[in-house]
Formats: sequence, C-alpha cells, structure tokens
Amino acid sequence: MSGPRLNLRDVKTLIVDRDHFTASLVGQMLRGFGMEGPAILGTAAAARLYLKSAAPDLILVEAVLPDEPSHELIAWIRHATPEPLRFVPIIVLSGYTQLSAVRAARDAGAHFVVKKPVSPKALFERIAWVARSERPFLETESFAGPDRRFGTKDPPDGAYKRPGDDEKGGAAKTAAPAQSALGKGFAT
Amino acid sequence: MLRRFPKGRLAVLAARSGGISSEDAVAAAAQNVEQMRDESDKVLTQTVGALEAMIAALRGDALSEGALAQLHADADRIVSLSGMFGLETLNRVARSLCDLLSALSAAHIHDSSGVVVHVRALRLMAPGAPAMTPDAEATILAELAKLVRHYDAPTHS
Repeated sequence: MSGPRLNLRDVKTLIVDRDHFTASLVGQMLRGFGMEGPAILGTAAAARLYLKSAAPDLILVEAVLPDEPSHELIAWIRHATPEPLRFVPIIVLSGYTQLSAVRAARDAGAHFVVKKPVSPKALFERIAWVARSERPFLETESFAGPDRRFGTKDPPDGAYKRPGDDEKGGAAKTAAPAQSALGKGFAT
Repeated sequence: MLRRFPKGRLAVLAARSGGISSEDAVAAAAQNVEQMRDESDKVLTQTVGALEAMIAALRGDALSEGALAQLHADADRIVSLSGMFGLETLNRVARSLCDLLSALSAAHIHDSSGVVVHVRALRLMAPGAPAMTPDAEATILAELAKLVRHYDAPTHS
C-alpha cells in the first residue's frame, strides 16, 4: 500500500537553527521530498529581517535559538506579521532536553514539535499532516495559532483531495502523527 | 475568540497532481542524508574536541551557567547527529550527558567531574575510535547512568 502522495515542488521553507550543519541535513531531507532548498538562518533576528520581505510556505525552527527563545519568534509571526504569513505552518525542532522550550513554542502557536534526531519519516508525516489537515486557526487575546484540540482526527473527507486519490490507496487521508512522537508536554 | 480556516500556500501546492509518495520521499531523503555521513563524522569529532577543550580550560573549576549552556548545546548536537546516522552507543552517551547537565542545572550544582567522565566516554565512542566490545560499552553506559542518578538524587535538589 502506498502512503500519501504530496506535490511539494516549489514549496519554500525557512529553517531557523543555530546549528547550520544539522539544519543542512534537514534541508537534504526536504530536497528528498521534492521541495526547494531551504533558506537557513541562525538567529531569530535574522529570521525577523528575512520575513519582512519573504513569505515562506513552511517554517522549521529550533526550540532554542541563540538570541531569543523560539516562542518569541513564533508569537511575533502569529501576532505581528500580515496575512498569509501569520498563518504559516511552523514546526519546532526540539533538542533532547528542551521540554520547557517545547511547551512555550506550542503555547506561542506552533503546529507541531519534532524531537531531534529528526528522521525523514517523522518529518514527512508532519509536513503531510500540516499540508492536508483543515486544522482551524484560533485567535484570542492571549493566543494565536492552530487549534490544539485536533486529537487524532483525520482531515475531513475530501480535504485537499486530488483527482486519482482514493481511500484504499491511503492518499486522501493522513492520520495525525502519534502524540507520543511529539515529545512530552505537547498535549492536545 | 476568532476561529478561521486559512488555506495556506503549502496546502494548495501539496494538493496539485503529481508529486511523490511517502515511501519514495522518505527513501530519497534518507539517501540524501546518507551522502553526508562522512561530513557528519567530521563534525561529531570536532564537537567532541570542542567539549574536551572546554573541560580542559576549566581545570577543575566550577561550571558556570554559560559553560553549562554551551556544553548542553554541543551535547544536543551530538545526540542529533549520532541519532540521524545510527551511532547508537555514542547517542546514548550524549543523551546521558544531556541528562547529567539537566540534573546539574536543576540542582544548581557546578561540579564538573561527572561531565569530565562523560566527555571521555564520548571520545571513546566517537567516529574513528577503536571499536569496543559490547560488554565494555555496556559497562561504560552503566557507570555513566550511575553518575547521572547520583546527581539526580533528591539530596541534590
């Protein structure tokens, strides 16, 4: 049985990670998925500057940045940038022991957390889920970001379904990645 | 509360016809990563060297908060790279070092002796080091675990 098919050609990604080599490895994964080579920046300040003139389709951000906590960068994207950038999918890459940073990133409006070491399978699953789900976006006085009460629901029938996709092939539905794989504290 | 359903460009692009199956995508990504194994080995060796240099510079002095943060960043990098390339024993030692550093930070302990032992173990497991027997590896890992438990004990908190 084949898994979900995604056409990720022309998808522009920004990776924010102080560890350029590890980020370049993630970039190689993205190329394997058929995506463009990502922009890689090492600090939140560089990312803020970049995002004033660019609108990536996906942002991968390390949980701990050298100049400010990643949750501050995420909150800035969610609250202070124009549409559609403020809705951009954000996946946090967390280190082995960065639980508090992971919680803060979630509360700031990240879509998912992927715990390092990042595997191609885990990363593709999260990107597929973000791309195919119809997760609503909530805006309150204290929070702006994807609805965290998405549980394990599949995307609605037909969501982003393409001609030729069918249920038997598993192409139309992408199950939510297991919470256990998201790291402790990433509760729904 | 405002509830919205924005359809982002990622969703629009991903829904186009064509594309790649998850199996092919994951296989291509893994192949791309594998091509960087030699470079990763060099980075791992350099990172272990950086940890050794940091420990040597301490000369037995207490760990500062800055030193703890830098050690943690380097240990995290080793966890990440060793995990991506299947270097299981090195990965376990690096995770043990992360656990130790977390315990030290939580208990406000600045003793570097446990860190020194971990960094020496990292060198023994680093790429290019002589192969060890499984028994020897298991013994080292067990001793490191004892060290972490010692610093993680309630008496230190």
